[in-house]
Amino acid sequence: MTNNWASEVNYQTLVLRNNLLQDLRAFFAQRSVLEVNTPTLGIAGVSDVHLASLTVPLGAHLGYLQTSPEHAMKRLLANGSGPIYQMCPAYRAGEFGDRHNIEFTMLEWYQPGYSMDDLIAEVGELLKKICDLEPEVISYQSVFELHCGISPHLAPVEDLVLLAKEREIDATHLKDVDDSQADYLDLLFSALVQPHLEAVVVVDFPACQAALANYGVNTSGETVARRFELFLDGVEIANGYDELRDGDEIRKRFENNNAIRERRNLPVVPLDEQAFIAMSSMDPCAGVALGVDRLLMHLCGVREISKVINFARDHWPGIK
Amino acid sequence: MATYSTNEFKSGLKVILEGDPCNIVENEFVKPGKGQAFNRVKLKNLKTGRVWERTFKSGESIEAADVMEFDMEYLYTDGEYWHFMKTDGSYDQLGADKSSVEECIPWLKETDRYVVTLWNESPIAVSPPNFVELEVSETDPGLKGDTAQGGSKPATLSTGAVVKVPLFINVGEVIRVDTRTGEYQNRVKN
Repeated sequence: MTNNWASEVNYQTLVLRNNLLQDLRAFFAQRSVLEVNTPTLGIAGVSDVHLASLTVPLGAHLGYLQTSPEHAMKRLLANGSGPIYQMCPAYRAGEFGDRHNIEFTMLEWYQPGYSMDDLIAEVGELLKKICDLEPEVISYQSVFELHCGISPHLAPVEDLVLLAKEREIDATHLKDVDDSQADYLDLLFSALVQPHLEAVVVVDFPACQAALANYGVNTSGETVARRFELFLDGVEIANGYDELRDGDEIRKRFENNNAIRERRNLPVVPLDEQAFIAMSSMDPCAGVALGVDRLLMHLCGVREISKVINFARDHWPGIK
Repeated sequence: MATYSTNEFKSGLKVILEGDPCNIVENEFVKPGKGQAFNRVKLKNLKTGRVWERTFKSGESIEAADVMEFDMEYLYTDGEYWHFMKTDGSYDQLGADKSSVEECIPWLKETDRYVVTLWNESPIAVSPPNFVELEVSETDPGLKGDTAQGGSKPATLSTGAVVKVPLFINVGEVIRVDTRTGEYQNRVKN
């Protein structure tokens, strides 16, 4: 399709995007959250084992197209910015599909002094305003037990493997993976739980999926990650944390990620020392990243992200 | 050896899985929030017709299958092979063995067109059109006064296929059958 120059995004969707961006800005303006811009070309990438940064050669070093503006925004927070938000392009290498594109629009915001529950309430208010939806809040444990019948915090990986077999969920892609607890939880969650999540905020993730969230203890006494995700129509829309600020723990998690990267022959990423200093010196806060394009998909009632991002397929492999 | 990476996967792509040629029916890229990306893929085994659901690590490659499909006209069988002819004007002929044609045998009628799937240039599957029109060769006599409503009875068709037909159908009549379900559709005026 070499002459496929026109956008797959129709005019009505262009208008809806315009309105969505305006509504989001109005929402934050009303709350005196400052809009900021930080470089999309960063000095380091994330170390998350499952996120791949696109890199740009800059003479002696590499620039990292940001998978989210998290690191730079935390440098602003540490410097006393107060509540801030940003809407910007974010990039993730190798992500193509009905709900993924390598470049997408992310809305990320931070609220110093907010607990995770405060921020979940704010996400709820935003959703009420934009989509007239009031999402239900439920723990990862409850929703996992409801649909899978076992505890995500207590079940050993062997039980997760067995459950996948019983429910005829293929797991060929995990056959050579060491340390696959988190992967099996993801597989089961995506196949058995996620399709049921019409408008739900899932809170308190398994500790093995903490990323940059603080640990906490749930009512049954298990260690959980103080992290939440918003789902609409079975699609993950937003991911938020009670932000980790313990410098040693942050370094430990990054180094651990890099060790796994090395084991799996993935590129090891330079540690973002600037961001480490910022993260360990910022005030307690909660932050969340929301996929604007997926929210727009919900508003337009479409199931393909290429129907809401202009020229998304320009970079897709094997399509032209 | 040609290969396809998961990010080239799309429906209609022909690949080799466990030694058998398969057609990708559905491909979904799954990337849990902070988790490992994978592709959840439905593949139809072109030899057995079975549909498999498999997950692939994103970025993994699998072997491409040299599979082609042709519109071909059914000519005849010599008992060992079923002979077909291309309809592209080349008049090329080929013989398909029993294992590749077996499921299609009840629907094979001379001069009708079928899709013949070739893997490494040998036929591995023959698929009938969704609807075929076949003559009834054997059934209980039709009951007078029966209309389109009411019970059914078995009828043997010219190809040997047995389908349930309404009571008013008689030997010698031509009926339309859905080959996907093996169900009677309607009587064809001839």
